[in-house]
Amino acid sequence: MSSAEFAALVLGILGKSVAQLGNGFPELPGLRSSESGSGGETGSHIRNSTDAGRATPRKVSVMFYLPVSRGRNFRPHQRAIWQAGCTRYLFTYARTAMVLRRSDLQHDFSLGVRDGRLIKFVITASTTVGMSIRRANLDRDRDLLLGALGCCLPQGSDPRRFEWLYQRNPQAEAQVWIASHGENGSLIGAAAAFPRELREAGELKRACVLGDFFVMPQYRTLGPAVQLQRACLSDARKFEAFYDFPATAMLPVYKRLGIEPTEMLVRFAKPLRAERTIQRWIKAPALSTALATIANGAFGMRDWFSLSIGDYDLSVHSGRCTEEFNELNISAAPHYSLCTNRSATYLNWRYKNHYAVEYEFLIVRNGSSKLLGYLVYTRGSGNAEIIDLYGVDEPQMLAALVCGAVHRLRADGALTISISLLSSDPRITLLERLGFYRREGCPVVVHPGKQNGEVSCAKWVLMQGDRES
Amino acid sequence: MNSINDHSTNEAIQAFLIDKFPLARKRGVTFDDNLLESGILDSLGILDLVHFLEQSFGIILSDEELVAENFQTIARLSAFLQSKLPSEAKHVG
Repeated sequence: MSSAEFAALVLGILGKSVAQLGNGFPELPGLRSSESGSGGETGSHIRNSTDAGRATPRKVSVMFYLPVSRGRNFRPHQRAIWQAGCTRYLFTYARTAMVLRRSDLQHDFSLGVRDGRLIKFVITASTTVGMSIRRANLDRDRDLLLGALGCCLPQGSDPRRFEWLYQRNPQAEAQVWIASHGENGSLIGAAAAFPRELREAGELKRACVLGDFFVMPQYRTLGPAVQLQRACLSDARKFEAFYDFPATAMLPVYKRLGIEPTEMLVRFAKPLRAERTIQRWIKAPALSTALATIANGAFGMRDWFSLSIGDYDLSVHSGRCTEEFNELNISAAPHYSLCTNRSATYLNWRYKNHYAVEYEFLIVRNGSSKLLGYLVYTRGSGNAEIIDLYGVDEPQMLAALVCGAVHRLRADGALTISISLLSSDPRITLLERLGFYRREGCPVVVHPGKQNGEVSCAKWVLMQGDRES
Repeated sequence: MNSINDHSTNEAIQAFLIDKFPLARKRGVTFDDNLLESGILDSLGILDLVHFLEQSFGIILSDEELVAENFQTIARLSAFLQSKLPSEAKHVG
């Protein structure tokens, strides 16, 4: 069959299919304009293919056609699918024709149904010219993902990380999309969404944090990255919210997808000891040691007077997080407009059972031993980092936690301490008062998912501990 | 929508690159220079260029078309644009 003949066939099929659809589904225009990535926004009910098939006995014609301009051949099994009428759904993706396999139709699409009528059809696996995107099976694709992550992302090839982050997340397994070359099957890239619970003004929301996005070096142009992230977002939008801490290279991808960064995560740092800085400028060991001793003494004196922990009872918490952390989570969350649901189960998984990093908890209690807040930090090559700071809305208590961490880490030889907060976080004033200096920032994307409401950043608590890449 | 031919398309793209991208200006980008390997165009640059092409030539570029093959050189981009434009928009000669 020549390209021209096939084009004629396609147009004929298209006309017939549309005519059939028009009779049964008055909402056809909405159906036809749906794209992967918009799933769930207008449909009042989203089901998977199996459920939807049972619940909607009406059949919709299917249109399958090949990208004729590329001159590819119409393969027999694809034609057979169409001729046998097994494929029952219309699918257009932007203006580009797609070829779907039978396997795609078995589990990778969802329907929007309202009042028994199909109003939206979202393919969640698409085959594009030269590239196919599919949902990964974490067991079957484990080795493929580990190998590719190792090539593109630091620490990505560690099987312990994969098991911890992708498979043992207490909220749900990671959802991963894989893009591969349509012809030879080689991996082009992958993107992941890690389920996460958020609390919005105290109310629990099912969300996900995006991460581990990569495109293999030989495919690093905008097109494949956009298609891959579009597919990933089609799943992420099914959550009530999703957020991401994209690298600079990802910003054009988001821009193309019509998503602008919502906020900046800014790092604040405080020098604790002066050895490294002085040794960089003064090479004579004796002199640099003497100067560092004087500078360290000055730093210590300064903080001794300015950083007070008041009457709060600070201690290191070395055991598991227990019920009192759940109680604190519920009592403190309403004070923040958006934060991760820091349940004991989550904290144990995120920090206590981390596959590689050793985190330490500094906790604060009041006079009656009630847990008021905690700070989680880690030390690495002289630079300590506070990656979580949470508690009741009591600035003096939070200040006491930070001061306690500063004193403790200085005594242990840490050179600097840093903490990252959203640029709108009201606790920034507190940090600057405690001698932290503003450093670099990275963009944060937060999308309200199904609710297309305003995104207000006031009193958000997203910190380094909330990111997974 | 502009009426275009290969040469005027080449020149329009070249002028845009020289105007917007310092590296293109510094190197005096030619029609056959590799825009990606030379670092003249990165992902963000491609987005700017796509916006320019869509505005100037009244076309819409899909995600699938944002691939290295189409953006490698000015000449190749121009040929790609020609293939996308409806025949009446092309001006021969």
